[in-house]
Amino acid sequence: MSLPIIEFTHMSTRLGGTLVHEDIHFKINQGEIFAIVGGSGSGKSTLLREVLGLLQPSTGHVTVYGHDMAHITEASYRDLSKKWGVLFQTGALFSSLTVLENTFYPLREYSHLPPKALKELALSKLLMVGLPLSAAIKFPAELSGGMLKRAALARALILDPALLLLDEPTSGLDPESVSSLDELIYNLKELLNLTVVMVTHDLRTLWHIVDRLAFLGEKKLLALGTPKEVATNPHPMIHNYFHDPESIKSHHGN
Amino acid sequence: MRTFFNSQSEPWLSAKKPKTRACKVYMNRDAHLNTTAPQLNFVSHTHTLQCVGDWTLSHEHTLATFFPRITRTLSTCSLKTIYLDGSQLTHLDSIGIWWLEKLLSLCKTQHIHCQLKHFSPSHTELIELLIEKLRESHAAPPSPSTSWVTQLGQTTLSLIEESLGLISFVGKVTFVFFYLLRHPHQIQWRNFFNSVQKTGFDALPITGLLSFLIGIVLAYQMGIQLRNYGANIFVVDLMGLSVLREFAPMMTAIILAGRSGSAFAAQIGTMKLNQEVDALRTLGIRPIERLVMPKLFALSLTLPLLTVWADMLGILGGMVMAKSTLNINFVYFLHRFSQVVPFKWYFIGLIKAPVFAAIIANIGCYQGLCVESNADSVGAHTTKSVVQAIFMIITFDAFFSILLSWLKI
Repeated sequence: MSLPIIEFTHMSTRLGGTLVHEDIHFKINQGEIFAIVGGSGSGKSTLLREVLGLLQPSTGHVTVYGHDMAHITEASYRDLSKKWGVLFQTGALFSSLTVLENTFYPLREYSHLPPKALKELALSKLLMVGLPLSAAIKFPAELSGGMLKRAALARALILDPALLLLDEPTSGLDPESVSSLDELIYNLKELLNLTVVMVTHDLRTLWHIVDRLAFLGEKKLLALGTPKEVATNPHPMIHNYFHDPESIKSHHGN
Repeated sequence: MRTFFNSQSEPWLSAKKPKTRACKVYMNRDAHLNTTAPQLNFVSHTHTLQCVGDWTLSHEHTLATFFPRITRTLSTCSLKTIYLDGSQLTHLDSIGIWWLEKLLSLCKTQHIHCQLKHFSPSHTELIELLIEKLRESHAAPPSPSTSWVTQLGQTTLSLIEESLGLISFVGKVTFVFFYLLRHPHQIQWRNFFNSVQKTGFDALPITGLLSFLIGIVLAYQMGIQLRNYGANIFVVDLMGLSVLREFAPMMTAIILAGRSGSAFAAQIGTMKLNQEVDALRTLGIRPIERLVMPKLFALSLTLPLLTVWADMLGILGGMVMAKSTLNINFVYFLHRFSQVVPFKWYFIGLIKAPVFAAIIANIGCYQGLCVESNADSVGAHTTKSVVQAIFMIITFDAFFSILLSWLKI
């Protein structure tokens, strides 16, 4: 039985008086690609922010690698930072650094490698996520949306994290890029035995690479299981999500 | 073959290899702390380099120590082929692979054929993937570097460009100003009153306090000098001249340049960064009309009002000090004030205020709109807005002095 990496225990969240989550309770295990799914405003990103310790739940706990994120010490948080790689929804690259500097930023923080090593490792990660070498010396503002996503993914991967947290990794990308990014995530997961947690809207990603998913809606965890299990759930929200005509097309098409 | 290390202390090694053969072991310093610390052992009779333990980021220092030693070994051993054995490798990450790649390139430069063996399938795949990318990365274009001549040229050009930009910005603002005078219903009153509150009402305490303190300092310093000549009462004349004509308008303008000019630059700069300025433009709204004009109007109203406020508090400070050090009571002070201080001093001080307001609003907003798409740029332009505004305020104040003395006012 694989170990739980992230545990949500009866967690509720209130943001400015509005209830976002109520009694969320589930585990994410080592080595799986786990998706957090739900309609817009269902608090998917909020859930991810709670995992990252950027936001504290009102009641209940979020535990990551055994650390309660509400009471984590600064030292443990730094240790945790080396274990996870995070891709934010809009990339969150540092605007005053070049793509290359952005990519090796975490590595420079946590290692004493010579500049040459930093540069080569960062470049190889950039190549790995499918960016051309010429993009390395550009600033984030000079990149297209898809390239930004890739550059941010390269930064998330630079420390070879054991846990990859992705907030909508494939949104805003063309279908071909989505497939290649999915493939990349899957391969990395297979190679490095990663645990991947992603917030996603992309049904293709769900069908292709996701092992299990949690469906959020009506402030609650509506369903938990493999994509197949969840897709057969009769709840109208889930039914509509999975059985919208276009998604069926893409599902059968692949 | 030289012997660097006696294998007795390494139990796994002594079990595996014949004791008689020479062998080199690259021990790491903290092997005793962590059982999986990395090692690179050269077994000479099998021509094999064994990679042992965790080749990961957490052991980067140990990994770095292997390289100089293995360079020495390889240069002395005159082998044609060596094997790299990964059977005892426990963990491998990008840092480990970077060192492996260094090792492979080293073999290549020394014309030694290096073959990988017994690496686990996942390690092999990882190595192949990353080494390919690492080798591709050598073809990366170098970061562009510029000579000081180029930099000097670029700085000069950007300065000229910025000055011209400011002039053209002031022109546009003037144009929109007259447009709004003809179409007053298009003025954003909400934004205007909001700005009046932020730049005016909220600034009352700080401008008042600072003017009061300046009044105290001026009266005190002048009082000391005047007392020497027994000319105590002339402190009233001097306070009237210095506070009304110079200090109150200039100090207020400088405070507002620091307080509001920087806020304008930072606010508009952040909006520019978020593409909000672009969004306004695509909605068919001139950013100058929506963002700059309310601020300019508000500041043109609040700066003169604040100057009056600063006049009052400055004189009050002078009165307090005159009473306590020069024994001039309030009634007598005010009586003489009305006799010796002409209205034109007050008026000259007040007439400068709208000019200073225009300087602060124009420079603050212009610098905000100059922000490029990174966070540093917001900081740089906010700083510039304050420095330039204060510089221009003092320059214009000097200009006023010269102009007025030329006109004999």
